[in-house]
Amino acid sequence: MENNAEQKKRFSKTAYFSIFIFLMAIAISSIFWGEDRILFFGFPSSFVFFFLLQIILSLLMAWFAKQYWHDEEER
Amino acid sequence: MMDLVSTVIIISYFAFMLAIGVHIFRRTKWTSEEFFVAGRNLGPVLLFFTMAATNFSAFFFFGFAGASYTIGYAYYGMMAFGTAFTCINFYIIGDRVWHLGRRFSFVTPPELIGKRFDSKLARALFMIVMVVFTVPYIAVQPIGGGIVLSSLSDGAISYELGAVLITIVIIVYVFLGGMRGDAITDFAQGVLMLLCMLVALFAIAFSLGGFEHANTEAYTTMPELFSREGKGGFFTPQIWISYLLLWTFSNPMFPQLFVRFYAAKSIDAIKKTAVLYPLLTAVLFACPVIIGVWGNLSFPSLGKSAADNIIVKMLDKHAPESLVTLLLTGGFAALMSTADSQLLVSSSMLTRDLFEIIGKKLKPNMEMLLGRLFVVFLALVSLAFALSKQGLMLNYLTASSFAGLAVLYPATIGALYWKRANWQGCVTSILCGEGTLIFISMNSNPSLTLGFLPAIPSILVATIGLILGSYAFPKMENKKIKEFFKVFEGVRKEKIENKKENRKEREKEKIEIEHGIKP
Repeated sequence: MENNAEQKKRFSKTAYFSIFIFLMAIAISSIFWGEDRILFFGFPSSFVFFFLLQIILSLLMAWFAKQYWHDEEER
Repeated sequence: MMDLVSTVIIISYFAFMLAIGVHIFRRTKWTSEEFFVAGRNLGPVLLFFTMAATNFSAFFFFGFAGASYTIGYAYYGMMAFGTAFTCINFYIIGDRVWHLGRRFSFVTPPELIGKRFDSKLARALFMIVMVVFTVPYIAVQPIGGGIVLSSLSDGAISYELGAVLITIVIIVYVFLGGMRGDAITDFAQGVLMLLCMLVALFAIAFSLGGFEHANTEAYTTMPELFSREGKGGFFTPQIWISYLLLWTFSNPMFPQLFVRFYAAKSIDAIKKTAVLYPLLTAVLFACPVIIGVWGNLSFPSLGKSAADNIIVKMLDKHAPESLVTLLLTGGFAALMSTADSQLLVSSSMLTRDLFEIIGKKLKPNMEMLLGRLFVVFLALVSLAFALSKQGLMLNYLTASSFAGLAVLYPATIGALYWKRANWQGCVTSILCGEGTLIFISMNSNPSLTLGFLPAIPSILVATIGLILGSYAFPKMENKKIKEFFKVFEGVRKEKIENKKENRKEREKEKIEIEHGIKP
């Protein structure tokens, strides 16, 4: 039972870090994408995209901190 | 000549900073731990603002707008996301550094390295790199302050006098308030910086007919400012990748940020800071970038140095006169909040690391006095740098400080996570990494780095150096490794024990209540 829980926790840590790395990969690869379009308030799509990417990063960090970082402390 | 309102605003701002320093000095019971890391007692709000205000310097307030004026909106993604992504380092590095700081009473980053590798050489090398790339950076702040004061007063206050005034104010409140004074002023300065930037953006947008109108006009005039790779194809894929990685690796290696992990009251404070950090960069970094792009509408075809002043020009033209000084006070806040932290951490490294490396253990009182004297000394050295305008040397060191400090990242990760890492690996990593950086910087041939910034191959070489150096020499004594790494296990064990005990107590209490022993 304890092993299963431990494995599950390890999986979540890997999963979280994979998502973080994935976010960075998206950010890095964005330079290769095509033409920018003008979105709301006249801002280019890449500007809006990076703004949202940071909000996602913050939410992901909040989720990670709640699920895993907390566990690390309480383990 | 500076008008009365501007004079009152600037004097009030400086007086407020000094009052915080005096207040902290009078009500604090001083120990060296209190002076250098605020008694390890910074809660989430103070920690978040001091982390942000310390990291966002004069370069953020003035340089971002200048860069986006030249490059365009592409600058935002690279700068903001690269900086925001450093929040994962709050877990990777911050969590472990915090635990180690509590266990071994560390105050400076080199202390941790010295203890982990049981080596004075590794500690000395780590300290030298941090000091060399931090002290010249301090000089950039009075330079920025001198320029703003001089421009605000239409030359009535000379650049030199401005730089001296800013330096004196910083010296006094850091000398008196230490890290706690620094953190509280950072809080005030962080809030001011955020508000000023937002008000400046909305004031300029209003004057230009709204966000959409200003953007549409800018797009019609210069569509390349809206392209993904920036004006003139500034961001090649290699340069883009380099910058995104460079910010992520270099930010936690700035000693003034590293020591804030020691100063946190709890892991919870670090956690909350990590969550809020990307939100702040998303909003705050957007402001100067947008103002910079719009600058092309009001002031087309500026040269590079004039472009760095675009935020001042835009405020002068588009914001109500009475607001300009108030908004530019945000610039003072940005530069002072960085300089004070850099001064304090450099002084702590010279006081604690230098003396322990040469074999002299100072008494706590002496340590604190010397720390304060080093604050004055370093501030005067930086001021001398600023006044002498040693352009070339200063430019080289500040331009390469991000790369120079990022090279320490592999050795730090090795110290915190890799039990096989030894002092030889750490020293090899730092020497090879910094050597590569210097070599590449001196040979300005882009084909040498395949188009990447010099930092990327340097970090790669530092990582290889750490691995090869560690495997080429014997493992460290098991006892010493265990003593260091058991901190993390110890923390877990202690918490499990506490939890068990609490549970037992609760059950006991429940039984007593059920049996009527306890009312």
